[in-house]
Amino acid sequence: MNAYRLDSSEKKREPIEFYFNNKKLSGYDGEPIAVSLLANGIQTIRTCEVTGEGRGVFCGIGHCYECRAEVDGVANVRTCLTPNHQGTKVISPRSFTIRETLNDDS
Amino acid sequence: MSYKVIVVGGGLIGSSTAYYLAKFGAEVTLVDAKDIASGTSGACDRAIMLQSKKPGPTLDLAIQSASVYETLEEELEADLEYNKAGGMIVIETEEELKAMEEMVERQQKAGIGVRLISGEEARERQPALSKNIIASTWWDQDAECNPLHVSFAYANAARRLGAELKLRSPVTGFLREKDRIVGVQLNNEKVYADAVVLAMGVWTPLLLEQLDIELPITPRRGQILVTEQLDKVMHGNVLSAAYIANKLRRNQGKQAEDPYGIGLAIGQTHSGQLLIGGSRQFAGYETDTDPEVTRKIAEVAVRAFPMLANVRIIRTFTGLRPYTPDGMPVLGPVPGMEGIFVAAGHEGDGIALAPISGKVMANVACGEDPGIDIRPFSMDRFQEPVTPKGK
Amino acid sequence: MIVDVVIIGAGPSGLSAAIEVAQHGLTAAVIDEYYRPGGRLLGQHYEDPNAPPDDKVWDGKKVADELARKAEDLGVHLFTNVTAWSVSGKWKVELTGASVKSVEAKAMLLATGSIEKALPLPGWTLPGTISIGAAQTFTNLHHIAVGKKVMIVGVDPLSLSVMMEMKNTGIDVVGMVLPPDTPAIGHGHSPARTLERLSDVAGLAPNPLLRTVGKFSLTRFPRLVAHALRFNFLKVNGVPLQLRKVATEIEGNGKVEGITLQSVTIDGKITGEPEHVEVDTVCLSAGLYPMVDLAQTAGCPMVDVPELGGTVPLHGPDMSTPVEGLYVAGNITGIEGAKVTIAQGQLAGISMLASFGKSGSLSVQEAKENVNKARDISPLRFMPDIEKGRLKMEEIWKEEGVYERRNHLQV
Repeated sequence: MNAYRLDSSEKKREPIEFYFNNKKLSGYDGEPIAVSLLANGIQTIRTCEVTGEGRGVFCGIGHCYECRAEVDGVANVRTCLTPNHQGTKVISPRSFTIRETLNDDS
Repeated sequence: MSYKVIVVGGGLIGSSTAYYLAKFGAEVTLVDAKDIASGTSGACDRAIMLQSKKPGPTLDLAIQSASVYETLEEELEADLEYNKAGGMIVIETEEELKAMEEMVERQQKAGIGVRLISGEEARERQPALSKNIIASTWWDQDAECNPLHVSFAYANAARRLGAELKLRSPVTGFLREKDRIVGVQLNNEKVYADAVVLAMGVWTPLLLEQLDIELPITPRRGQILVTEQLDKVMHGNVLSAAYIANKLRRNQGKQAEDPYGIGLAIGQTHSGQLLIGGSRQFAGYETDTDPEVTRKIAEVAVRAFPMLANVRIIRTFTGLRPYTPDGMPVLGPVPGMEGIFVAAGHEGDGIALAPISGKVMANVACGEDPGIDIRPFSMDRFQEPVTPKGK
Repeated sequence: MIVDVVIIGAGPSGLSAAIEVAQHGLTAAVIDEYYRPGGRLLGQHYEDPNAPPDDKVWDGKKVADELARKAEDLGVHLFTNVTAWSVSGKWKVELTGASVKSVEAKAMLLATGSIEKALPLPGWTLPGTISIGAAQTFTNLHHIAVGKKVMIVGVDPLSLSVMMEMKNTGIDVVGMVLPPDTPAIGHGHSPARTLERLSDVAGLAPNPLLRTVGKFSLTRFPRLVAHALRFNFLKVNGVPLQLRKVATEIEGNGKVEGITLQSVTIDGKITGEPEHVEVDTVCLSAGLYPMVDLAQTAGCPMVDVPELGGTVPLHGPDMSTPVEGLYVAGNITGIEGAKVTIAQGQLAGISMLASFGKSGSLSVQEAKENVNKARDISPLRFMPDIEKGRLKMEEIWKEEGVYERRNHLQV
């Protein structure tokens, strides 16, 4: 599939398309979002709220929270342990802003 | 030889008292069982609000205290994260509106410039506020600070003026000559002094028990949620009218309609985290957090600020607020005993009242006139006459 | 949801405990944050030369799937992708991400496993810096290359095995170096200390895994150590093991682009000029420590036992704690391999069954012996003095445990 995918004997998986910051990418259904991102060569998932520096996967098992992103409208989702699916929309939280929720008093 | 004073308790009130005593030239020893701000002062919010104070002697005291805060960073040579960002009490129902109208009127009479504003104006000042808020109070002179910084700044300034700090030194008893306290017993040492000031907040009655003196201060547990770091979304401090109602409610043990005493108190720290309170529960000295309370506080917060639904809570903690039956602190001598004073029972007003409480107690402990009528805060105001039963 | 036993952590110990209690009439729920059950098993894949011929390959993912299927067949409620954000009472666990808001149970087993120690080198927050555990999971479970040119910082049994696994899948691992001795990172990373630790691990129990690392063997090890110290060069699986070099800084503009190395004396003192190596990924390995947060929240007393890997909940040989109804199993009690933790999980399950007046598939004593047997045949050893640590905990339990338990019951 690409340079980052290693050969695997695992049974055939369902290819999917998903979006990272509105860009269409491909991955496999059910694998963690962070894995799909890395398969596309994407290491930087968000930026630090304080310094603005890039951050990506560190621990890979949900402890460190460095890989969090907005997934289908839900903020602070840990991409390392959230399965990816067809059409999933992933957005880098640059820093928290009240952009979309500000006027949404539902 | 100079006048010797022991201050027991390194929270906001104790460290402030130690500082003003040292400034007067007294020989001060500040003692704490743990560390500076290790109790209530390290487990609270950050508001220095006048409009949340009960009109009357407490508000008068708070007004004097607020003016001390304005120059306190300079005086203590420390960053207190002091910020006069204003404050509002948000109103959700007509019933709350009526109650707040009365309160605002009384506060205006007492000389503070708080006023009622419409829901629209409230949202202009605080854009993240929900449309369900029908009105709000607003006063631009309300302020905030970091209570940990204030406690440490007072303690450090006191030390620079010669005060001695004895930390991790629990007071195990009093040194007594007849009806006079002449010092305190620490673990391995006796410390003598001309006066002892107890500024131990909720723990003050536990020590006074040793003298068979009853002090009606009861711990009231308050839980606070901490969020992740956010951009600046909170402008000044925001309370809800329900918070004020809970705070002013004086029915210990009878909170049937809301056993958790949930009311919103929210502010943003310099590092961007929101501190979201809170609850008021009578639960003894237990400092456990309660997931049900976490949930309820979050619900109330999201109702007032819908965008919070998308914000992560990273931890929660509780602090014990020192409740008194009439909602006013205790400042002054212990009746029937010489050489011992109490400065405690500030409940939710400890941050706002710390500077003035310290100044008053420094005068009182040295036998000077504090320049303020402290009779409303005296210990003997509580119903039954308090008499030491001497051992 | 109300069950008899709630288990936090669907790793090897949590799953085996769930199977044991469910087989003997108790209802159980297992909660895990990861999207699939198995815990650290999921990343494990290696050959164990000591195992019987038909059992040579340890395929952690297969073991995990089998355990999970067995648990589910027995009616265990398995919650994955679910966070337990609070424990209170005796016992109520609050959940996020599940179909139910909370789980209540009479007994709670904490099988939360371990967490990786930080290795805060300058630049370690750059994207492209990942923990060795993440590298293992990405390589073995997800079949993704963590990078194209990878440097590993930290030489220990885990990082050595991950290096081999990455190398076997064709990832270019350019080298393995040590972390520097700094106040933030801690001490004890000098070449001399690292080799001492490695030879402890290789020497105390013949460590088949280390032997498979190229030329390591019990008899040749001391000579190799001397060689490595003198020449600072030892190739393992074609990867240079640079035991006299430390990484002092991870560099890059927005992401990892390189790493600065420095030569050190055998005591870890920096000598010579810094050297720059171009890499796009750095894996940090500083060892594991027990993840005890929930045990603390649940009011369990903690004991620091360095031989077990750090601070662990005070617990008895039957995996009970002084807190009524609270049990622990797996890496929360000390850092060990999956075979040991599976046996510990069964032991904890049997103890919990006993507290409900039921007996399990073995006696507590037999289950305890199984834990020791599992330790003897384990291919991977993380803490050289683990037996000493276990004995220490038994002694502390004898002195403190009974007293603490009485205390807790009074409260």
